[in-house]
Amino acid sequence: MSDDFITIVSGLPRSGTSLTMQMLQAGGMQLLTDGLRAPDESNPRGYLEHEAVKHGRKDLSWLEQAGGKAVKVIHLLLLQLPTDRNYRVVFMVRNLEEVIASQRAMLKQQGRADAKLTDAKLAAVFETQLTQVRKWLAEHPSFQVLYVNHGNLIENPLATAGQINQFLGGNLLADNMATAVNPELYRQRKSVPVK
Amino acid sequence: MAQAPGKKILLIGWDAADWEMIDPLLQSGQMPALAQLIKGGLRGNLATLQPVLSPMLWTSIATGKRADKHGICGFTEPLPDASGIGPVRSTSRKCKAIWNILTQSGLKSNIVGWFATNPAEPINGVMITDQFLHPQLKGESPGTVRTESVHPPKLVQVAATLRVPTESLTAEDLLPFIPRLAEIDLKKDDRPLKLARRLARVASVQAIATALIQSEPWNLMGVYYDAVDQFGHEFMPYHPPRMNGVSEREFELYQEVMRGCYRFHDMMLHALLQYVDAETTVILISDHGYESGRRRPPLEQGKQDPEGCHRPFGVVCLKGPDLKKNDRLYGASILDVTPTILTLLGLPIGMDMDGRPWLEAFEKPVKPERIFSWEGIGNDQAGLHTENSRQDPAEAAQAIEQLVELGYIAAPGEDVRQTIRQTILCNKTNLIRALLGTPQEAKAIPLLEEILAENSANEWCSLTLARCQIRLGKFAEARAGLEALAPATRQLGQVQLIFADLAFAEKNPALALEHLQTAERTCVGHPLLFNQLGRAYLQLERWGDANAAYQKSLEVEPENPAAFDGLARVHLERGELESAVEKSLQAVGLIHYFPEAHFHLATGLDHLGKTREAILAYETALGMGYQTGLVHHRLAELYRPIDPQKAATHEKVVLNSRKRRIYRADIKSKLPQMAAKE
Repeated sequence: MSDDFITIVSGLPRSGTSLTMQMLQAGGMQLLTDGLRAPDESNPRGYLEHEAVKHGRKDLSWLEQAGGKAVKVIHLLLLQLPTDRNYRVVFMVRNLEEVIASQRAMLKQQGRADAKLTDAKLAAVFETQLTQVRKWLAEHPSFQVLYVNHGNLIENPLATAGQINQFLGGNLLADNMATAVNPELYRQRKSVPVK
Repeated sequence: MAQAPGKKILLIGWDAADWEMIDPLLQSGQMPALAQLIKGGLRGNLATLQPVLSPMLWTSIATGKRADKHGICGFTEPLPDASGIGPVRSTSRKCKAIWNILTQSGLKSNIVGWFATNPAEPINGVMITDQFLHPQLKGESPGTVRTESVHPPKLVQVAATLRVPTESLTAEDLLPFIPRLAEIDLKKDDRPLKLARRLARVASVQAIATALIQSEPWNLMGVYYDAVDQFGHEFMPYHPPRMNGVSEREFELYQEVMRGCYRFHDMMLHALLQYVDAETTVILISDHGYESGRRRPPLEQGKQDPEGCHRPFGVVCLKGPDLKKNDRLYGASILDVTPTILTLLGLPIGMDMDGRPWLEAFEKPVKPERIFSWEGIGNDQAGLHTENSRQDPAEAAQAIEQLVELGYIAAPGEDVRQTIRQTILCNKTNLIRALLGTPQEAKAIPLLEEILAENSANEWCSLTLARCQIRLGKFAEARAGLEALAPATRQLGQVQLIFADLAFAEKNPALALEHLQTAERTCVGHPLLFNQLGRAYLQLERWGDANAAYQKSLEVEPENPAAFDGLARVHLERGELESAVEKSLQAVGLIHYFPEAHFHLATGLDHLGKTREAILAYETALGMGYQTGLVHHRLAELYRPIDPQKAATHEKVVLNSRKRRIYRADIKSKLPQMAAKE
């Protein structure tokens, strides 16, 4: 894989970022993970994260090892990346009601506190964050972005894997990527079709 | 000079300017520009709001609304990414400001330095925010231009070149403030440097405003200067007369700073007035006053509690072609500024605004149009931030906290989380204080309960909750809360004052007096205590004692509307009607929104046979929600000979309320039988 750019999988927590990391791994891409966060009921196949990334601008040392690899970066932390490098961002988009339901379920399983906000208010805050991130990404040419709809990925894994592969240079095994998608893990599905 | 069609208003904000400082300077001819303005227009006190915190107040001035509607609740707020806290942002404002209303009405505004305006909104006109003029941030290189602080972007460089760097000031610039500057060792005393920094900032505001007033067309030019307040917090303790705790040398060195500050503002006013013609209306306001005499808090206390230095009345002065000359304005509030500007520009007032236009200031009668609200109409043409960029910072911080809990973002240090929690709590407390005593007071109860759910030991919340419950008629809940306090706490003066409130509410003035006399042991010389004592004596028909209590209250706090209203009641009871009316006018002259005082004024006028004035005062009390049967009864009587239709309307209200009372009494008497049947 080319060292010319860093592949980033981003989006809101519980929007399918771990699934996309699994797809990339299955397709042959090397991942930047430290394996510290163990799989659990919410993510039985693992989170595929790197702890240093979560510290934002306070610790950017991991960037030195990230060329040619894929790394998971939560949406808000994209704003803290230096703009003097090239990034290709696979940005996961998922229905906000599903995202919030999944986040609340995960926090409940872990016995942790969720935000004392109604779903509607939380959705409004997330929507604002996403708008700001999209705007910022559009303003910075060092970031190329492919927005991937989580619903489409589940419904059409092969076609979506092809799109991702093409975006990242076409050197991955798209068929293998598609096999990583397991619709049974899609538990917080809305009853209406996801747009 | 570039022109915008239509009327023009120059709105000048001097944070914390106070007539107590200004009047002696006017008398000695040291503020000639302001003297001219007053001579050609009107002057008055401008009542502030609680809490007396500038970002909240200047946003109320710019919106005509209280903090529960405009959403700016403090100096700081959590940063959008919850990495800390920062100055409060315009994206947190929940309603339109005057410049948004003007934008959607096709009018132009140039706004300079106004509190809580960063990032700049894309208005029709120019916005140079408060943050553009702040000193550089940590890590920011000198001369950094903050592009988000200027609209339109093409003016960023122009505005940047107009900034006055502190380094460009010389000793000569400081001499009018500190004539004996040469005697100060600047390595040991940094006060002159602090003064220079503040002076540079206010000089920047002036430079930018002077440039814009000439080069950019405008209908509203709003310029905000923070120096009177900023200088006051550092140098008012050295203003004559010398305070305890201030050494003679310090007094000698710094006693001219505040007078110099006001004189400097007068010069800046003079400069701006050179660029406006006689057709332009000029409004000069301050958001609150500033203690400058014997009521100044001691030196250290003033530093620890800056709000304690603020007085409840600021200044207002207005002059224009449509306005009266050489007159006084009474009962004005900071909430009235936006409704008045809208009226001057011929635009309708939103009925959701909390202020009123100063119609009495107009030379000819005007009847402003009213619309339900400016919110929700024409938003895409109002120069607002996009819907997605406006957010509640406390909610944003909570959402980030959820992402931290989910394990996707590293938790910020405990100190940062604690700072954010403190900021959210502080802003929530400010919002509660803003709601107290307003028609929206019930909204404070869930907020107080939220805080108490997290920290039941928060004494201020417990006591404030009890006060709210009493005012809202929830006596049992209030009593339960008060009795749950520790016995020693219950004996504290401020708690006894609340017990007295409860006794008043339960129509037991004798018990209230007992509590107040207990409170007197610890709350020495507090005007609120004297006012409450006066109230108890009034209800116990001890007119002499009531009179003495209110007089004592006025000795402590001369601008004290509640004490004037109390004295009016004493005079009414004694049949001294002229004096009663005089005291009532003093009460409503200080605070217009004071329904009881308007009712007492009306009663005095009514007894004096001044029917038309009495009707006006009764109607004012009614309009403020003073909905007693007595008001309707008196209005029915007064209207009968002059307007039978209106008289009939008020009679109908009286009749209906009687019917409701009889019905309620009937139901109450039947309840035991109904319960027995069931």
